[in-house]
Amino acid sequence: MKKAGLLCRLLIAGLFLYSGGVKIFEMETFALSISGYQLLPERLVVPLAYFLPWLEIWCALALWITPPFRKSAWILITAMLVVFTLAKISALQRGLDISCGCTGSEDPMTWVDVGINLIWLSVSAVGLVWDRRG
Amino acid sequence: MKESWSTTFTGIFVLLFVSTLSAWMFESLSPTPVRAERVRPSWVREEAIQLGVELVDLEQLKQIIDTGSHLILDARSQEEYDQGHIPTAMPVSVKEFEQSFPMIAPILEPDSPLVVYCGGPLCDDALLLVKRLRDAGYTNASLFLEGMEGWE
Repeated sequence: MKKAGLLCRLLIAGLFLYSGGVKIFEMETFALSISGYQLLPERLVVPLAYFLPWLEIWCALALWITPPFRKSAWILITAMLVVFTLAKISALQRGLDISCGCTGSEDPMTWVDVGINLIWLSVSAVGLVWDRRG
Repeated sequence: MKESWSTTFTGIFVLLFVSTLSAWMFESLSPTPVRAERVRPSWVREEAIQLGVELVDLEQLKQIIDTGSHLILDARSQEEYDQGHIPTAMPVSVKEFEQSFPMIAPILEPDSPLVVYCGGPLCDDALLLVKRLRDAGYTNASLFLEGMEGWE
């Protein structure tokens, strides 16, 4: 179980570090992606575009460097993945032809992206349960 | 158990706070911060209307293609154009305007009717190309806002 937890931590930390880093270097593209979901008031789009990549990066780092806060990071990461998955489902159900904005890709979003998100959510859930302490 | 949850909530608060602080510092130090008006889904339409650019819808575009009344310009990259484009469109990548524009300049008159498009309603390449064309003296360019997404 400890090894499974460690593997989940490696995978999720890698994903969130990469995804957060890409978004920071393409901030306007990411803000446009958030805007494309049409879920938030316009005034919140840019602040969220600045905030989310940093939350992803700090959570990824917290999984490794601050064992007392590891559970906090897992909770935030799992919550983010739940919100991202629901946002994608909502966008696809409304027939929006947008890119997901997940890892910098500008390809149109499909149900495959939702499936990938659900896999990541499962990994995160396993980490949340089995990888709480250092 | 009580102490553990207290640590967890403190951790969540610290992570949210540090992320907010990082985002604020990053925005403050950024030489080109993201402008809210540029990331609205409708900002391209709003700016086009403000600039007095005529907008063309899908039905009008089909008529234009049938009659050949306008020259259609694809503002995306050459690579994207090669992957698929609107029939009769010519590639004029706005990102490589200095190289792409001279290829079609010989067949243009200052008042030649043009229709410009890019990837979809959220891209701004077509609007940027309309502006570049205006600066170059070609003032009769319309915009097909829905772009390739609308055409497909």
